[in-house]
Amino acid sequence: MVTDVSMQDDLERLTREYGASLSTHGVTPGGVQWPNASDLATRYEVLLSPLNLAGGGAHPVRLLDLGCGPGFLLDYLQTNGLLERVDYLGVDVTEATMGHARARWPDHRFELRDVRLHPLPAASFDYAIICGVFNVRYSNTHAQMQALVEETLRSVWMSVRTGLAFNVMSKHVDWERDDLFHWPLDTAMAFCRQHLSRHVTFRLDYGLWETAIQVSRIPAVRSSKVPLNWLPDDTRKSGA
Amino acid sequence: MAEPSSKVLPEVPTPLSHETAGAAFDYRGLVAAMEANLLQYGDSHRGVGWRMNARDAALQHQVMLEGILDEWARPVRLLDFGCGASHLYQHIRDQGLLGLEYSGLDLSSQYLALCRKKFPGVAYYDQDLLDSATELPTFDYVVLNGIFHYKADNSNEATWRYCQQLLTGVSAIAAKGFAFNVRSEYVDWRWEYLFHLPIGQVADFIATNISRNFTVRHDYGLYEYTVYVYHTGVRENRPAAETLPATIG
Repeated sequence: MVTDVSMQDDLERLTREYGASLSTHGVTPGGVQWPNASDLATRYEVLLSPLNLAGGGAHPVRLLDLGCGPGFLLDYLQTNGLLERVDYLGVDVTEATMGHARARWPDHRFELRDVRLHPLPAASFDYAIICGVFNVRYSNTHAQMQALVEETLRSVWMSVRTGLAFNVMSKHVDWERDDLFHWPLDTAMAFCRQHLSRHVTFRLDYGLWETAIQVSRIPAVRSSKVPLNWLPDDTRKSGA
Repeated sequence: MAEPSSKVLPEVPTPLSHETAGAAFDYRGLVAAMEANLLQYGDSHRGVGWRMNARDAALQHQVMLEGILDEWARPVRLLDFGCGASHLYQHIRDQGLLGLEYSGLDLSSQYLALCRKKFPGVAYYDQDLLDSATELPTFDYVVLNGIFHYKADNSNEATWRYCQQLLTGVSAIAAKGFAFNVRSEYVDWRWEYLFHLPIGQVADFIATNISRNFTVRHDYGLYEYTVYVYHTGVRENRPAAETLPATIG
């Protein structure tokens, strides 16, 4: 665990609001600047959807929750009967927020860490979700925020075995706000292809003005059989 | 054919960034080119123009049908737009998929003759959606598999106009949603007769003209992506919500 987080300027600009906000609003989604609780549940549902947690599995999923805040993901997992399905680590950068997380979930693991300076061990997780970390840039410029997003994703990518999911604001909105980070789909795709993987899904189908971006190391599972009348000229070539 | 709907096909959308002048997309010419494939290669994926391997062509059917949402009532009325030899229906039967009421549409009389011979119980349509006199019934879900990959020597501008016209028309006969695939910009090689579209350009058009509710899948390992557009779906089941993570409010 890293205890002496010397916070980079961009992260300081990103997180300075939260301490005061948690005091004002209490430990609620509003306290970490979300407009309402049901949308946060929707976001978690969408980001976790590639894991099919409800479908069961032999082992818990080793899950990294980057930007865990006061540990709301654990509330969501518990409410939906999924807590046993994950082997959880929450990571964040401010003492105040993490204090709430540790107090609320004393039996779970949390770490203070800027993963850009102190990357997590390679392949130490199955999957990572990064929820609400990249939506608001506050006083960071777009370029500063893009650098923060890309450096963070590259570091997290090294520590996950199968993939990651995160959300950003969409460009496909009626208007953009100066303090939000709207990342064009093609810019995100070009980055993912170059530094993470080209197996990417963009979900804009859950009614919020954002995009959930899911990146996987391997392509989607194939379940379809190949019609026999298609095969002759392929078997020679690919041995399929 | 089924009873005609009263639905009026929408206006042709204005192209985003190009003059409307210039040759129109010659889709009738493409139909003839596809029929030449059927003659040469017979009833296989190559016979409907694919040059990828058979496993990849089969994967496209799987991906198209994965856009059907669990909460939709069954049977789902499915239109295979540009059905070719109806390989999607063959896929549905081979996989034993239930709850789908399949219909096909194609402009090629040769493919349709083959389809009707193979699947006499299936409804097939031969109308041209871009003909203003065309009347088609409404379906729940319409898929366009491989309609936009091959542009022959049509210009990119004409092909993009054609895409927009067709998607607008398809949207009007798809009650719940539709899906289409298109070649990605993120590829290792290009060929001048193939059409590549930036994801953002498609997303802009869909969000501005058709629906805010869509998903782009570039996750199945082919050099293309599939866009699922929903008129209904996830959003329906959600409570009305403020949508910006905001310091305001």
